[in-house]
Amino acid sequence: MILVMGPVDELLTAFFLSHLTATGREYLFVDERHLGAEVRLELDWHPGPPGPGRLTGSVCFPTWRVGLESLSGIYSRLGTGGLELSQTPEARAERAHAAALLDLFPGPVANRMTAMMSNGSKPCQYAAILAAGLRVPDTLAGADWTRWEAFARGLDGDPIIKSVSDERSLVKQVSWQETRAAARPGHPLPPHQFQQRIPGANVRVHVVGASEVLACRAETQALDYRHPDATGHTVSLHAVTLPQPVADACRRLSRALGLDLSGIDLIEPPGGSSDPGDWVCLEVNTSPGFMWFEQHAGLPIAGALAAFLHAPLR
Amino acid sequence: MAKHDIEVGLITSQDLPKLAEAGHVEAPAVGQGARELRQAVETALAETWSLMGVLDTGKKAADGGKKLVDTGLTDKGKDIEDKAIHKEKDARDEAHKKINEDKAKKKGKEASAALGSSAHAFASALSDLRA
Repeated sequence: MILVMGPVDELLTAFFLSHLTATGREYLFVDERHLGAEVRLELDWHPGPPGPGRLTGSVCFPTWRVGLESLSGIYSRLGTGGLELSQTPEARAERAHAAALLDLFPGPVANRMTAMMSNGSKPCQYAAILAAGLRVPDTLAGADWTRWEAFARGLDGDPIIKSVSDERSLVKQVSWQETRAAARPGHPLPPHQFQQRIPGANVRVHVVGASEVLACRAETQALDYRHPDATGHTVSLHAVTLPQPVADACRRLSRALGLDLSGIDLIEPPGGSSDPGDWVCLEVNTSPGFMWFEQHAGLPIAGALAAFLHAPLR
Repeated sequence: MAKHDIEVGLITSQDLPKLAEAGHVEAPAVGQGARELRQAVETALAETWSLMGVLDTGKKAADGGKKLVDTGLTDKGKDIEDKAIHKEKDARDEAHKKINEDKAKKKGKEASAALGSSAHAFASALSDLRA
């Protein structure tokens, strides 16, 4: 059975649980608010060769428990939903146990805590993106004013400004002069990255199990297609089939980052191309909110994820 | 493949004020076994979707299944559609039952002190969906 962890009223958690219910998949659910109170995790790590026997333990409820050997895969939305979580030592310890379970579980996990850490540094992700054969935008990260001028001069149009970390930001195109004028002496800009705006169509790719590739194209005039209403635009999402070499590059990238579920943001070059070196990858979301894309583009992402997590342990 | 405009989707930013006003759904009771837990989860899900104003989750799933058949993506589409249609009725019945039960409970209940955090939580929910 699939273990799902997260808040029941977090929309993606609810969406995936609804899918499991509707399709008759067996699952076990741990609401994050119960960790350290009604629910505990018992984990035993055994030295030895890699394999399913190294980690044993149970998910323990007050009057019943489920052994880890009964679990086929794990889907985690821990840390989402804006909950104010208990800070008791017990609750904090159980959240640490949950993080350890995600990292040590021998079967598929979407996603492991350590695998999600690449999202904390976009420049770090760019190294993996380049290694997978995709392009990245010309980027300046940091707050060194002396380097901005030279970078800005080399750009075609105003730069894009966006978060350099996993901190959420609304992507904007800014006037270089205004940005510079807004700077206060002695107060360096918080970590941001400035990029060349890339012409082309936004394509969102979800990779499940580093094998199944489900993609959609976003048609919009908005700079940030995820928030078209913020600028008075609309967006249309529709499913597309990627050229095989580009799909393979996405698989390589997802595998390299250790992700069993990834949301890869690409820019398709005008006129299209089957060469991944022509496609620009903006970032890889390590906890993708696939519900929106599934609803609007008809991509069967929840089904693919459930099938992947429900496969028998190897 | 079919093209869908954002306006016809299940979740929009217009849903967020309703969510913030309603507050969080409580964590489901863990019960005495996996079956009881899943029943509690399904009740909590019905409440979540009813707060969202989305009572036709099953219908959407059914439509999705039909679309899979139409587009020939998978021959399991019909099966998904049939199951989802049954689920739709169950979910709607359950949601209505829950709403009626909660009406009395919530009538005299003062606005939650946690409304601010709820509003924040749901304000970030849409962003999470599109991350």
